[in-house]
Amino acid sequence: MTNHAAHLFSISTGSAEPIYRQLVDQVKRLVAAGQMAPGDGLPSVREVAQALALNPMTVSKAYSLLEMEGVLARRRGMGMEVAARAGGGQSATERAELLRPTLERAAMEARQLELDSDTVLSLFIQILKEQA
Amino acid sequence: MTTAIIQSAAISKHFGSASILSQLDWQIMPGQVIGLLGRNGAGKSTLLECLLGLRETDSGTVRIYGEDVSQLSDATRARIGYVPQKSDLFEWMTPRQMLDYFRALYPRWNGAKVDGLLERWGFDKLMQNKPISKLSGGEQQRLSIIRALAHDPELLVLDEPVSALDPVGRRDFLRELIDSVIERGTTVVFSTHILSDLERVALDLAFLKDGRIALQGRLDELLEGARRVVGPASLLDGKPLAGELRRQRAQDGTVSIITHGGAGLALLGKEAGVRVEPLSLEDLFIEVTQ
Amino acid sequence: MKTVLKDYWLVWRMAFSSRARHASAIVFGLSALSAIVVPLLILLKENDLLLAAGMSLRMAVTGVVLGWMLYFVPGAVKLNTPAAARLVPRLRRRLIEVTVLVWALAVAMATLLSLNTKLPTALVLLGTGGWIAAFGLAQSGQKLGTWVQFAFTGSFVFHRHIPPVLFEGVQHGTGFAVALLLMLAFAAYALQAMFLNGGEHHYAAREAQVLQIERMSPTGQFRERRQNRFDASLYRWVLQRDSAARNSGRLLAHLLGARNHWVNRAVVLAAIVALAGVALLVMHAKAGPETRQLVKDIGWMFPLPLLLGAMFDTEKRNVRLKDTAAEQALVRLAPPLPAGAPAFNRKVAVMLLRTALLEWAMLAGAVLCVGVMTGASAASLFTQACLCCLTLPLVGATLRDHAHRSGLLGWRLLLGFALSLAVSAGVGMELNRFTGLPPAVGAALASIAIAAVLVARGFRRAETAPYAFPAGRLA
Repeated sequence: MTNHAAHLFSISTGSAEPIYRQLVDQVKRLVAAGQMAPGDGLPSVREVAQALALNPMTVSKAYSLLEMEGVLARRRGMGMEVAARAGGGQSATERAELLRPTLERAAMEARQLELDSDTVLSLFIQILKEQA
Repeated sequence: MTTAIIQSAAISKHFGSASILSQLDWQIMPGQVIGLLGRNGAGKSTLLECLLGLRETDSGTVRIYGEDVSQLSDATRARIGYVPQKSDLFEWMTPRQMLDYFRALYPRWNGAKVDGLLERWGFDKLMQNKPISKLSGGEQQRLSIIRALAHDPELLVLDEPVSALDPVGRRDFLRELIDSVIERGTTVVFSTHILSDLERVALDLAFLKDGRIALQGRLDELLEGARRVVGPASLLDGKPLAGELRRQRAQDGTVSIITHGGAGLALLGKEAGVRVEPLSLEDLFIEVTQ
Repeated sequence: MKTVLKDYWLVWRMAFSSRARHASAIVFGLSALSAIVVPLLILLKENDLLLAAGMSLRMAVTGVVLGWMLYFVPGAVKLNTPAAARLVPRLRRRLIEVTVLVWALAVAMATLLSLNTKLPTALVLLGTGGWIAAFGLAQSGQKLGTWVQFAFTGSFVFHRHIPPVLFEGVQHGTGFAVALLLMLAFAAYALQAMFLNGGEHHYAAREAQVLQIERMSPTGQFRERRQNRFDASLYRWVLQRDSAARNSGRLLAHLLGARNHWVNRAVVLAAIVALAGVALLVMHAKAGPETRQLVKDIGWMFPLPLLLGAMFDTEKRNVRLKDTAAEQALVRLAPPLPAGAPAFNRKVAVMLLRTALLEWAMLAGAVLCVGVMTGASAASLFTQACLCCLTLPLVGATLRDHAHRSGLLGWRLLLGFALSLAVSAGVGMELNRFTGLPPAVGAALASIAIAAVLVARGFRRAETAPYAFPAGRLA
C-alpha cells in the first residue's frame, strides 16, 4: 500500500497529444504493468501540478477521467487511489486494448508501404520471438 | 452564467494607414488562464494595451469588471496587475526604491510575498540596491513580474513576461503562477512565444491574426481536434471538411488541409493515399497564423 | 584606384547616413551655393577675378571640411564598432584614410590660402592641424579634445598675453620642426583614439562615444548623466519621504526622473549663490571704490541670465516625459491616480505647473539673493524682481497636449519667448506713457497676464485632450 510520489509521472510538451491525455495513458500503463497496485495512493493534484509545472485543472481533469473509467477511485477526503478492480484482474483483452494505438500506427504504415496482412503478421511474430 | 471580466466589443485600432485591430470581439471569463498567440507584429501588445485602457481605440468598447476602461475606478485598478513588454522601467531607481514607490501607490501590498520572491529569484541585498539600469534583461523581467504580483491582483495581464529568462527562470515563474496565482482563481491573460510554457499552464488559447481573434478555444480540445489531411487532389478537391482552416496545394498536386473539427475524418483516413496526422501546438500555431 | 575611390564614396555616404537623412544634400548644397554666390558678389563689387576664385575655393573647401567635421567624423566613429574593426579591417582602413585625407586637405588649403596674408604661415599650419585634430577628438567623445580646442582658441584670442618669443621660435627652423612633429604626433594620437581597433578599451570608449554623440542631438542634450553621490542620496531621501507619505501627486512628479528633481536644483543654486557671495567678498576686499560703486549700481543685472535656465527646464521636462511613456502607463494603472482622462490630465498639469513654478521661484530667489549681496538699492532690486517676472510665460509653456505633441518645442519656444518679451516691453512703454508707471513694472504685469493666459489655455486643453501619456510602442 505505497503512496506514490509525483515524480512517477512525466510529460512532454510539443507533442500532438494534450497533456491530460498523456497523464491518463501513463497511469493506465503503470497500472497495467503492475507498478501501481490496487489500493496504492496517488499524489494529490497539487503535488503533481507543482512537480510537473502544470495547471492543476489539467491534472484534475486527468484524474476525473481515470475515475470515470474506473481505473482510479476517490478515497474519502484523501485524494485518489488505484481502484481495486484494475490491476491484476485485468483481462488479456483489456490489456490488449492498450496496445491498439501502437498497432493502428503500424497498420497505417503497412498500408502506406502497400504490404499485405500476411507479410506484416509474419514479421510481427518473428519480432515477438526475437524479443522473448 | 458568469459575466466576463473583460468584455471587448468591436475594437478597432490603426496606426497611420495600417489597421492593427479590426472589429475585434473578445471575452475573458473569471478564472480563465488564457494564452494570446500571434506572429510578431500581429498586434498582441497593442491588443493588451487597448484592453487595459492604456491606448485609445478608434472604435469599440472595452469593459473590465463592468466598468468602461477609460474610467476605471480605484478599486478595479487595485485588482489589476500588468507586466509590460518593456522591462527596464524606472531604471534610475533601485529595485527596493521601485517596490517602495509602488507600495505607496497600492492599498493592498503583500510584503512577505515580495520578500520571499526577491530571495528565491536571486535578488540579494547587493542587487536590491543597484539601479535597475545596471541589471541584466532577465533580472529586470523577474523584477517586473514581482512588482505585478505584489499586490495580489485578481486580473493579471502579462505581455511576453519571460522572453529574456533562461529555462530555470521560466520554470520558477510557472511554479509561482501555479502556486499563488492560479490556486487563488486569478484570471491570467498572457502573450508569449514560448509554446511549451503555454501548454503547461494555459487552459485556453486565442490566436490573433489579421486584427481579429481567428481561433479561440480550450487548449485540449484544439489539440485533439486539429488534424492535417494530406492526399491527392482528385480525392480532396471540392470536398469542404468541417472546421476547415486552410487548404493548400503542393507542387506535386497533393492537397493539404488543416481542420480543427475532428469529426468525419475517420472515413477519409481509410482511403488509400490519404494521411490524417495530428498536429502539435507549434504546427497549429504556424498553420493558423499564416 | 577606382575601387579605392568607390570605397571612399561609400564610406562617406555611410557615415553621413547615420546622422540626418539630408545631411549630404545640405552640406554639398550649401557649400556649392556659397562657392558660387560669394565669389559672384566679390566679382561684382571688386572685379578681382583672382580674389573671387580664391574665395570660391575657400568656400568650397570650408563647406566640405565643415561637413566632414560635423557629420562625417561622428558617423565614422559610430561605424567603427569593435566587431567591425576586427572583422572588417578594410572598413576601418578606409574610414581612417578619408579622415586623414580631408584633414590634410584642410591643412594644405589653409596654409596655401594664408600665403599672401598677414598671418604667419607656419602658425596657420600648426594651428589648423592641431585644432581640427582636437575637434575630431572631441566629436568622438573624448574630453581631451575639448580641452585642447579651448587651449588653441584661448591662445589665439589672448595671443597678446603670450610672450612673442614663443610664437617666433615656432615659426622657423628647429622650433618649427619640433612643433610640427608635436602636431603630427597629436594628430596621430587623435586618430588612434577615434578609431580604436578592438579590445577592452574599445568597448569602454565606445559607450562614452555613443553617449557623447547622442548628447549632441536635440533630444539627447537632456540625456541624464550619472549623478554624483550627494545628489543621488538627496534624491533617495526625497523618494523615500514621498513613498512613505503616499502622496500621489508627489509620486507622479517622480516620473520626471532623478536628475530633474527640484531638490537637486536647489542645491545647485545654493552653491551658485555661495560662490557669488565669496566672489563678491573677495572683490570688496581687493577692489577700489569706483569698482565697488559700479558693482552696486549694475551688479544686480549680471545674475539675470540665470533665468534663461527656465527655457532649458521646459525642454528637459518635455523630453523626460516623452521618454518615460511606459512608466507613465504603469502609474496610470495605480489606484490613487484619478480615473478618466480629464481628471488625470488635470492632475498631471497641476504637477507640472507646480514643479515649473517651484524651479522658477528658486531661480528668481537665487538672482535676488545675488542682487542683495551686491548691495543694490531697493529700487534696483524691485526692477530685478520685475525682470524676473518676464520669464513667467516660459513656466506657462510647460502645459501642453501631451497626447498629440510631446517632445521639444525647439525654436518655437525661443520665438514665443522673444514675442512675449517684445509684447511685455511694448505694454510697459505704453503704460509708462499713460500712467507714469515704471516700464519694468508694466512689462512684468504684461508677462504675468501672458503666463496666466497660457496656463488657462493649457488647463482647458487638458480637459478635452485624451489621456496625457498614451502608451507609445512600449517594446
